[in-house]
Amino acid sequence: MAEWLYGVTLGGDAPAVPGVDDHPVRVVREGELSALVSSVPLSRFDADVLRRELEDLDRVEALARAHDRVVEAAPDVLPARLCTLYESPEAVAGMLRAEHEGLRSALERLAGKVELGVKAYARPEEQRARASSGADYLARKGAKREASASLDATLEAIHARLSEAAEGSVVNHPRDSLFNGAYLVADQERFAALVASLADEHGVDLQLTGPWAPYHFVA
Amino acid sequence: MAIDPRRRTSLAGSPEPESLADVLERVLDKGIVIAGDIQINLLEIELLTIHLRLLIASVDKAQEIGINWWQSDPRLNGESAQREQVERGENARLEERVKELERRLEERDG
Repeated sequence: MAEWLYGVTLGGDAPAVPGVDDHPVRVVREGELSALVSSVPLSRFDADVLRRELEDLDRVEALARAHDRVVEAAPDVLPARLCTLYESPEAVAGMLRAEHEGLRSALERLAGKVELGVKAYARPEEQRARASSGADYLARKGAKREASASLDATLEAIHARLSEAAEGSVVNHPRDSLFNGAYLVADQERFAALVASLADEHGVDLQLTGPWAPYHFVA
Repeated sequence: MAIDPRRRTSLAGSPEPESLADVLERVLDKGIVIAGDIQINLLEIELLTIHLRLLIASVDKAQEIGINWWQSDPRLNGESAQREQVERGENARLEERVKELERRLEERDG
């Protein structure tokens, strides 16, 4: 067997949700720290097996969602990355001892805060208006450049306002949106209201994700 | 008014699951950096799985609303020499996986 690590809390209990492959979640305690873990069979979780299985999107999704489900069920947790595995509960306790200072100070810094994701999309009616412009090729290119620069300025302004209202902020690669930011907040309602008002003020569609455990802010 | 941090619905208004890309971005790449006993290189898997999934599921929709971020991604826009090098090595493998994913999507939707 091996121990799959979900995250670390300050003296917390195991949340009552199933873990990866429905294995039960329990804690390994060492001093004031609790590691949330599941015992998993090496037949499915040793390095060679995992590398092979992680080529399968369905397997990646199942593990990722189960891992995050446990993380999100535990208040004030420092989340571990997917596939952080230990040889035994004793090895987990050893890690907690070795990393005690860093883990405790991070947990104290993040207590009572959550991460909110904000993604920006263009409003559909604006996209349609841009697309239906009958200008010639050069004019369209020019207009696109201008629109793009103005959009960048808008997104920067939004991020600046959100960062002011948060206790930490990170900008991610946008992937499937125009903008992707993560914010560390203590007051979710206030932050959500600010997001809604910025969306109206700037005419962009802002979507909230979360609340998440503070994945982006553990360091 | 204090909100239980675990209540997703308080913000979203409906208990929809988060998108896989949003979950993967966090669990593959963020969180505490502590070396476990079993070492897996997750970054390579993240790049392939996320890009493939998004390409297949959303490229038409994204183009429809003017999103074309992949055009500035050297792995996908065909403009960088680096990408060409990677492409030569990975093309066959990627094509195979795309076909597999398309087959699975068809099975799911059919």
